[in-house]
Amino acid sequence: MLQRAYLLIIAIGVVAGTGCSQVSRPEQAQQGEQVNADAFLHEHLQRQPMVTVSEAYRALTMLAEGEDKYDSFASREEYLLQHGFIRHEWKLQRDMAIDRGSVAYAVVQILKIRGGVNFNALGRLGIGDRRYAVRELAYVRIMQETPPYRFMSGAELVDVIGNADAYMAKEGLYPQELLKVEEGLTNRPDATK
Amino acid sequence: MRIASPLLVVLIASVTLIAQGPATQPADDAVPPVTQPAGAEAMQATIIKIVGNVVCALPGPDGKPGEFKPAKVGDKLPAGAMIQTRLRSSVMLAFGDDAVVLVDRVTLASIDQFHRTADTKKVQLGLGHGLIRGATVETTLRSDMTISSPVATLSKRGTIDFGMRYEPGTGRYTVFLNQEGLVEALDHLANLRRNVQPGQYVTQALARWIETLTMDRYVSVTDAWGTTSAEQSWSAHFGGSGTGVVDPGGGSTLYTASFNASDGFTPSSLTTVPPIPPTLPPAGEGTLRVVRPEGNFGTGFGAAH
Repeated sequence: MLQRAYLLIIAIGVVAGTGCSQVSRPEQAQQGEQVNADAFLHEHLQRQPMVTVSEAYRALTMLAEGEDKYDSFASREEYLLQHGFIRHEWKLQRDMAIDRGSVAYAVVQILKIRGGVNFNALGRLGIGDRRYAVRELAYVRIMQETPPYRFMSGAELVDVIGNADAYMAKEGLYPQELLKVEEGLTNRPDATK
Repeated sequence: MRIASPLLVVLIASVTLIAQGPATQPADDAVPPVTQPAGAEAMQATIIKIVGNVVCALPGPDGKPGEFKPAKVGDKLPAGAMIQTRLRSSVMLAFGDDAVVLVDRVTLASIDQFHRTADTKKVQLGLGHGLIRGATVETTLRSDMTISSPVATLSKRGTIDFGMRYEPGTGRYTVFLNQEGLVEALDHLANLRRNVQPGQYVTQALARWIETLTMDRYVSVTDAWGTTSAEQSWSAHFGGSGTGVVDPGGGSTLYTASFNASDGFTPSSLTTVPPIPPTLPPAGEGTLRVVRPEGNFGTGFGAAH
């Protein structure tokens, strides 16, 4: 009888721990839309244990455009959908915590990564699109290869966005003056090398 | 079982609580005021180049950073200043006439110390996240520069193009040295240190360079004896790039094309190389001599034999 009770408690614990995976953070999403771009990247996101869809959309539009052009969730979502960076089928809501796979898929599309056989064969059909997107980003060393269904911390999102931006600069996806540190040293008139 | 069951319950309850709780603690906004050692002459860094949007916060009278304002070339940054760069942005700072630092994209950095004593110039930079690169030349003044992150510290010794990238989201970091000199990486968690020579880098794995190198370089493992001439040519030309023959010994088709001005390229001949048979070819009067009944391992069938 006692063992049955223990088993029941264990079952409840397992259901509570694994069955409820949907997280909603409306206040955090609201705050993420209000802060300025610098504070958003360097202060706000760094504090978040998980990122909402609203915050991820803002970071992704910043990555794609290079600046914080849009001022609302609706306009950012429209931009990302128009360019095929995210999918309608995912049914992502503004206040929901976003998974790593969705972010990875958007980043892969923004970076115009062609991908491997699995990503093209299964990913483009929508079967395992986010799963293989994480693998593609792990291959180019932008993201760590951890499960695509896991939530993403704000600090991790900033790391991914920063790495992706470096990839874009390296691949010439946007024109930019490249600063070389050694040139800064040798070009200085008072430098003594 | 009676002892194990309560333990299981406690374990599962703990896991549930951990899964639902915050993964990281909110960062503390309080930044300790910067102090310079007594007798040291305080110095200021100068912004010499900016790309994109960069903001800086200068320290107030209490030593704590003030409000962030857009940075411009020529601005002076004393110890205690903080720097933030956005996407597609970077800033180059001069620390005197012998040291230059580049704060790369999406980086939060701080100048923790910058002063000069009798014969030493000390520069200590903080790295919240992102990438800092640096270069120094040796002058009569001994230059002591370190870049500190929460998990590791870079300490340089007369170097050009060294740097550190830190990702707080995953705890990963890379300390590298591209050109010349010597850099020392100190890992606070493992309490280990690694020397980094020119052209090398070290990550949070703290692997020795020879171990890191084997992970970065593609090594072709194609068996030259079991491949055809065409496959060997392919491996010789493209093997180093990571591409390779999918099915060595599986046969191939060779196309050759001749060129003339009127017709352009036209295939003039076509040769098909059959797959290597799973057994050795007939010997003598046509009897099949099977040396290894379990199959062909390719030995002796390529152009190398």
